[in-house]
Amino acid sequence: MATTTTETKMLTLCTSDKQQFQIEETIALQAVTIRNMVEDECASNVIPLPNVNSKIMIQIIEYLKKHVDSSVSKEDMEKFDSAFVEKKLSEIFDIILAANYLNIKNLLDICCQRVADVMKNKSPEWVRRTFNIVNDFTAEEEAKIRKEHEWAFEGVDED
Amino acid sequence: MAMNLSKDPMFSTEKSLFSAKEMDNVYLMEECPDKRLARFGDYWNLEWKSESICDYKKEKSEKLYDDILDLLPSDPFGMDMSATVTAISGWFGDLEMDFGLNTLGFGTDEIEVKKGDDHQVFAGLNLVWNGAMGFYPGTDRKVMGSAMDKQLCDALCGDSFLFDSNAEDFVGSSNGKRWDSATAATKQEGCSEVYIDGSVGAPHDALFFALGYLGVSDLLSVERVCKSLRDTVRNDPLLWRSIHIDHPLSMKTTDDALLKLTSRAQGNLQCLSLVECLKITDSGLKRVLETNSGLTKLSVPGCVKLSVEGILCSLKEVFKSAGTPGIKHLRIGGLFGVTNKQFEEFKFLLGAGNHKQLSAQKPRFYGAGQLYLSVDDDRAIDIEPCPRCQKVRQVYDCPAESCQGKHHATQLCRACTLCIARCISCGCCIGGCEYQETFCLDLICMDCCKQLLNCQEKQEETSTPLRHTVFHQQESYHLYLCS
Repeated sequence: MATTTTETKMLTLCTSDKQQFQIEETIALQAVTIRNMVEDECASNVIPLPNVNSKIMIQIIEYLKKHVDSSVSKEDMEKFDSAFVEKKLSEIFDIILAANYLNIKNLLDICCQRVADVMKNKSPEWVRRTFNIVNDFTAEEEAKIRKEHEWAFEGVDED
Repeated sequence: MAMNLSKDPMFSTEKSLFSAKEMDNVYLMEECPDKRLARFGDYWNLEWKSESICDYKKEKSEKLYDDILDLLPSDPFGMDMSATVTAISGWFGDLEMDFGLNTLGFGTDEIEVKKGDDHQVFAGLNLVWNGAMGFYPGTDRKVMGSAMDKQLCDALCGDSFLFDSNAEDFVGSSNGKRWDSATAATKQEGCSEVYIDGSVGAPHDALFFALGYLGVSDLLSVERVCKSLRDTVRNDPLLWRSIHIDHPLSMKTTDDALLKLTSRAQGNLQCLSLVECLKITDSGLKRVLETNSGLTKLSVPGCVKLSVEGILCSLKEVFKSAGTPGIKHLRIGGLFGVTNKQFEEFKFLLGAGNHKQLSAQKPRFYGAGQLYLSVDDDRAIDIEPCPRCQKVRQVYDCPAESCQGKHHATQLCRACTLCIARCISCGCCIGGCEYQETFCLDLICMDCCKQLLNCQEKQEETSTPLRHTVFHQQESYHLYLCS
């Protein structure tokens, strides 16, 4: 990023809880949704982001700030990314939704990958327990679905 | 420690664990007021590392993890059970004080009281559980109020809490009646936590985004979790656009199973990768190819039941019916006896007539944990005539700098592994230098071998946290020295 001494254009983002964030335009434009808004000139001074709260916004800005910096080496960036996703899953979930809304593809990628890694080689019971999902199958449905791809689970432990 | 608690099946470890867990959550909120909202919604088993947790909590967290403890004998080491329970009771006693929950009157739960004095404290915990469940209209709000501040209470009782439909489950499990007969599934239900965002029981919206990043076996597992996930997994063809099957599914996947999986893509299958699928036959693959004309990448390395001729026939038919080469990238490494004629036909079918110059290709190295060429590599096919023996095989370049400098084709260190032996670890050619043969008859050069040994020594120096790795390392070490 060319941060010259000339004044950098700032954008103001307004989150769902009415917090305002002033950030450099180059940083904000990495989010395709914001870029589209700016390009279509439908955003005046303040860009409203009703689907993102301030707590998540702070983290997303942290991510965008790092990624706008082209001087960071690829390895450092990967290190940053892997450290960035070391959060609680509930936070990751919120970031996923926000990244999807803001259309920041690589952020969505690393967060989804993190969730996928957590779910890797886990039993349905584990997934229910971890993500707080209630088993809403009837006994018949469950038996049926267990049968459908039984071959894949032969010899696999339940947990 | 946990196993000491399970005295009888009626009062399983599991139950006390969940009670304890509930206690933890509540306690946590007391502990760090600033974060209480956030914490309350957390998945407890993923955030044990959090700060400001007292010692007893750590110990409990270990218990929470280990369902397997249920299977163990109740007192395998002859430890004194009552002493442990007393100690635990002590902790809980402290907790009660913290919460001011002792005003609620413990020990009223009939089921628990019968179990005798030792369990009294758990009855108390159950009350806490019941209290925590008291979000649904009217009941026990006071309990909440005493344990948490009003703000939190409001948040929980607000629109996001859909307890009505699930109340029965929660109450049922907290009363402990379900635990006896419980299948694994029902046990987990009771485990559901109170957490803030979204309705309880339904998967988080963000989870659906993550599905696209799961492999076949994980998708099949997630399908069994609940209805909404099942419907998504089954009916979203995009999740099945790229199917990659390797160990452990590769041993089990049959023709019919594969056809069923691929049909989920609803004709959108683009990339099919079957690594060492021993049960897939020519006719099975043919059926898959017929129904998925959009396939552009096919990888069947090490599928020994497939024949070169069979694959060629299938490809020809696809070519005939579609008119254009559908498949642009083919991986058949590990299949032997490809003739030059077949190789030319493959190239034609793949539309790779304009043979790429060698220099344009990225060099390909042997070993490094990757036996087969990835489908994402831009080569059309992973085999080619070996420059030395002219047989159509997988051909490797040499990563050694001394070999890369040579530009004349005759000197180039580039051939199949039969012509130039290579180290399984670094991929360097083994000419003249010392090497060892591993148990699997792979070759490993002395440099890599030493590295492995050093690595192992280093790890042995580091203490217990790395025990698994060390063990693993030792295994491979033995493997190398066996021969």
